[in-house]
Amino acid sequence: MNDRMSRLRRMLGSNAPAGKIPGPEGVCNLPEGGAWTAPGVFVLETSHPLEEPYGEVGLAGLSLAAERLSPWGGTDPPCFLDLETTGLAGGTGTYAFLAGIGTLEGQALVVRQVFLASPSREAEWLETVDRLVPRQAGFVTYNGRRFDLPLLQTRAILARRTPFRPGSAHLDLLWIARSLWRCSLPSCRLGEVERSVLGVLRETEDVPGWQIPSLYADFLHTKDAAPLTGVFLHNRLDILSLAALKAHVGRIVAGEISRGQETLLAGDLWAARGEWELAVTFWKNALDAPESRGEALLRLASRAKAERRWETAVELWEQSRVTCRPSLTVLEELAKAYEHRLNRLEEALSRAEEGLRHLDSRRGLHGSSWLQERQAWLHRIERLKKKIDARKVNFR
Amino acid sequence: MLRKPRKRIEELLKWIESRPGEVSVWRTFPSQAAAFGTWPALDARLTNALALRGIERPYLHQAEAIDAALRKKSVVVVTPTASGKTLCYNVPVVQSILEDPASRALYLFPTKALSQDQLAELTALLEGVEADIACFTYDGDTAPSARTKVRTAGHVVITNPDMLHTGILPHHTKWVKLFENLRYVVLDEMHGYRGVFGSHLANVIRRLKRICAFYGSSPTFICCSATISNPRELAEALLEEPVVLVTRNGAPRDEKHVLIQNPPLVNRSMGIRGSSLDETAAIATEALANEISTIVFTRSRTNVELLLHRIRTNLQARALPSNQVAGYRGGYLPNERRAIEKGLRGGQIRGVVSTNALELGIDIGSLELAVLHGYPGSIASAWQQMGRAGRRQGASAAVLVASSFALDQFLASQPSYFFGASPERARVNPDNLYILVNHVKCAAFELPFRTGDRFGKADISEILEYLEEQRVLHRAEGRYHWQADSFPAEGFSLRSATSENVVIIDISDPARHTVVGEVDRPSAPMLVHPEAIYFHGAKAYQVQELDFKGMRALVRPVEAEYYTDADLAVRLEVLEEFDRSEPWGWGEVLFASRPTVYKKIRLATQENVGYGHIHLDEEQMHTTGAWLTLPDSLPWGNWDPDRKSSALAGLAHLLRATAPLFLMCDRGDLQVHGMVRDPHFERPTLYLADNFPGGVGLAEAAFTLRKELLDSAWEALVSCPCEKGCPACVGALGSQIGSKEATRALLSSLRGMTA
Repeated sequence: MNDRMSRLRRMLGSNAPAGKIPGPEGVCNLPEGGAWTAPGVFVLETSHPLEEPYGEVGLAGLSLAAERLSPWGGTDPPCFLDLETTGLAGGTGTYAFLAGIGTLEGQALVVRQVFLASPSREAEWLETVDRLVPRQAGFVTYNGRRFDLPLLQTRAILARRTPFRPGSAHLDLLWIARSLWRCSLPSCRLGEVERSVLGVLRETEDVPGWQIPSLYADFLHTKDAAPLTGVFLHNRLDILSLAALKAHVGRIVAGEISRGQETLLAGDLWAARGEWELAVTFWKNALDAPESRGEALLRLASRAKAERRWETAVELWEQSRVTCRPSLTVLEELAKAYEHRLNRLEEALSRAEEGLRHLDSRRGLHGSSWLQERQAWLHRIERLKKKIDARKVNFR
Repeated sequence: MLRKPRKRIEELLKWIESRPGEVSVWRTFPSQAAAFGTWPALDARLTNALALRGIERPYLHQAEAIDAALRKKSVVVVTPTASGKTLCYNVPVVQSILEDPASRALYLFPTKALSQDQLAELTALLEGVEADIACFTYDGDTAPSARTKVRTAGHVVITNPDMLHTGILPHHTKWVKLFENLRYVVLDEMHGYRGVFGSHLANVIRRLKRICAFYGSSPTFICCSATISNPRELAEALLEEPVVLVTRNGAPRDEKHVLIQNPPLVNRSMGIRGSSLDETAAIATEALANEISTIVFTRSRTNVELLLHRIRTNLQARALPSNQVAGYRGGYLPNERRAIEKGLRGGQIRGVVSTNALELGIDIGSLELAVLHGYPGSIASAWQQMGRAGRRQGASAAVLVASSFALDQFLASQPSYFFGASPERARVNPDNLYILVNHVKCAAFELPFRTGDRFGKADISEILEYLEEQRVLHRAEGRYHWQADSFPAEGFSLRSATSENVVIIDISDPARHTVVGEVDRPSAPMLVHPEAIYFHGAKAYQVQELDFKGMRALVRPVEAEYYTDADLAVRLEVLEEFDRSEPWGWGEVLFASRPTVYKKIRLATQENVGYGHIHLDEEQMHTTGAWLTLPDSLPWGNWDPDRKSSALAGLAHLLRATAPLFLMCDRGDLQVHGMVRDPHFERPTLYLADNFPGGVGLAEAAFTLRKELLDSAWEALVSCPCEKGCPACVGALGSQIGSKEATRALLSSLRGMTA
């Protein structure tokens, strides 16, 4: 314990007064093991060895994750950051009273939680947070781009401090989580992702997020921090989940985990970065799983189309046509490619006629554009028939 | 080809005089030569740009205003329309940015349309200035992707008070560049910031100044106002600082005629006069036929369309192009409005029929003739509408066509009242507790208060303590920090009505629905109820469905020979009594309204050709109201019902005029209704209710000041020199039914009973 305190004091630098700083008068029942590092600022440090289990996935692979996620802002050393605030309203009237700061130290994730015991000590609190975030660290957050970091900037301006770590690298896992699980999870809130993806079950002492502002408001009134124990836990678990999620997502984009839909969408992530080779590899892997096969075929086909590899594209679309639900888009692509690229008019005609049948069978779904679309198909069929006739004449 | 020589404006007026009916007054205001001032020391890039636009030297009022502003004195400019007031702020603002490119300015206009107009005007001036000066509008229409750029790069940010209130001040840390370098704040159309809206604005300015002080800036305010009787007082109440008042208009003006025309008596014994609508259309048609540019003002949106239809029909009958006249009113789409404004400036459109939407400073150039279809309700409005006609060279005229309303007839019979009356006073009460508390919350959200801080001039220590008690604020070491999990600026609106619109959609082509226009939410039940005929640009549509959830009205074009006019039923219901002191009380009331039936009125003849029922839910507003229940013990117990109702109406009219004085609000902020048979009290009852959801403390103040209210009503009544009653006391109808005496008797006994 003393070890930890002296290390903390070192981190806080020479400004941190030696000796014991008394807490604000009347404040009681803060979590054990922490200490006042400045007037009104309480820091609680915990250490979590990486080999310890966490949910179903654990923290293994965390050390590799930054490099794997570098296209999305991952960089070492990481600084996991999560704030508990007096509200979600945003604007200048919301402040943070608890910052969870997670860093990798040896084979452990060390979480330092900086607690603000009175809004009048915000300047000291900001100073402490700034000192505990390693220089050159890359932030890892969940919605930090829109919430946590702008909030810290706002508070820095209000406290007339210099901007808080401008231009730092930042990996916002919400963005990646949305890309991977938007369609398969009811929401992409951290709690949901944590439960469904990481298999983490929160302990009962944890408090739901919406209660946190009023718990803190109560504390300011009573100075009894006992009801905040759950908030400290909540914040610490958020940091652990951030770390576990980062490790897990790192494994997904590295292709270590192959689970149909995720693999497909990981391919999309690479594609969005212009990494086509990687994207194609992921999409090919996604062919094996029945739930992602159809979409994977289409993506591979449209990539082949973009590269003007028409034979491959047609082959993929044909596979999609035969093995998946037929779609107008695929039939149109096939008709076009057969007609204009491969000069296989009979096949083009056959796909076009199939398209028309398909359209007619689902008239109700197309609404007002139906007639127009039908005209286009008829026109295509007409043209193909003429072309075929003309060729027959030429052969004669 | 020989053209019929066109009538000059004087000949047109003689033609009006020769018509049946009577011109009750014809005043001529002489021409006035331009009075010029000199530019203060300005950057050559600016004077060059001004010269490019043909401006070699400033008019006197421009020079005075620019000089004051550059010396960092806040200034209020009061000059008529088209006197070049935009230069009064654009010159100092551009000059300050040329001197220091970091400088910023904030322009506040009451509507988004005016913001667009001003952006165009400023951009045109800046085209000639060789410097990089960025101007943007910032309002609900600004794309999220453009917002960051506006915040950091905009030298001039053009917005409205509502956006400043909810979108800018609570997020001031995103606007550091603006607030650190804010040199000028422009407040145009200042006369509109009166009553409750003005009281809100005054508090928004307090918040703005507080934030500026935090970032170390102290902007100079440049205000522009139409004529009101107390511009300096209003500006100083809004800004809480001394202002330089500039009123000497230096813009040249040619001769101007003002006429009041009363349509002829068609039934002398019943006193019925010819239609003022027909008369207005006839005058406008004759003017347009003689190539005289004309603006017609009327009181309602329906009347805009009716007049437009009539004038176009008249023009067609004379084989003249009917598209030379356009309508212009709230509910036209922004691009439609832009096209009409452009057409007016360019001369392709020679005539326009408008509601008071064009009273505001939209630039449409200067016109030769203004025809007012009826008195617009206030002296200030009347002069502002008349001011739309006025040219630097060549005579202009304004004609007020009296409608059959009592007030119009009164003005026609006693025109000296119109010319003698001073324009209305604008009042604000920034320290109205309801309004103040709401803004103190917003201000505390924006920056913590210290113990002992004032908010503008207001001592708010009690409010801060109260908010601490409510745990909205948390006090620590002498500072009050925002502690609630809410965004106070979104908790209330600066205006009584929502800014939401119902969109009017033509569904005749199922494949392509098109938006025809829009109508504000409160007016929708009256104007676009199912089966209503909705006119837009003189084209008729019938409403198929009014969908409040989707905020849309579905219409189909029709050939309609009639228009519809809905009847509104209004009721007031006491929900809870907070206090009572016979015969007064106050509490929570329900103000409910519902259109019940509509009449079909034939366009050509104005005759009633049928009616229909309207099935819509009641519109309800919970607010606070004070009431005065009239006991049977009054001497009026044995009066006949007519006398009772005219006395009650006379008293309501008196209070409507005098109460705003004591409650420090605008007439429109208060609903005053006399009910001869009130279902709740079962006695005749007079209500004074806040015209705002939830109330803003006016009813409570009315209850507290009940004695003063009756005393001042009494003063107004007995000091009025009229004999039987007039608009200044018991109402214009008073002279016809002699209600002054009845009101006097009622008021006298009420004063005796009110403690």
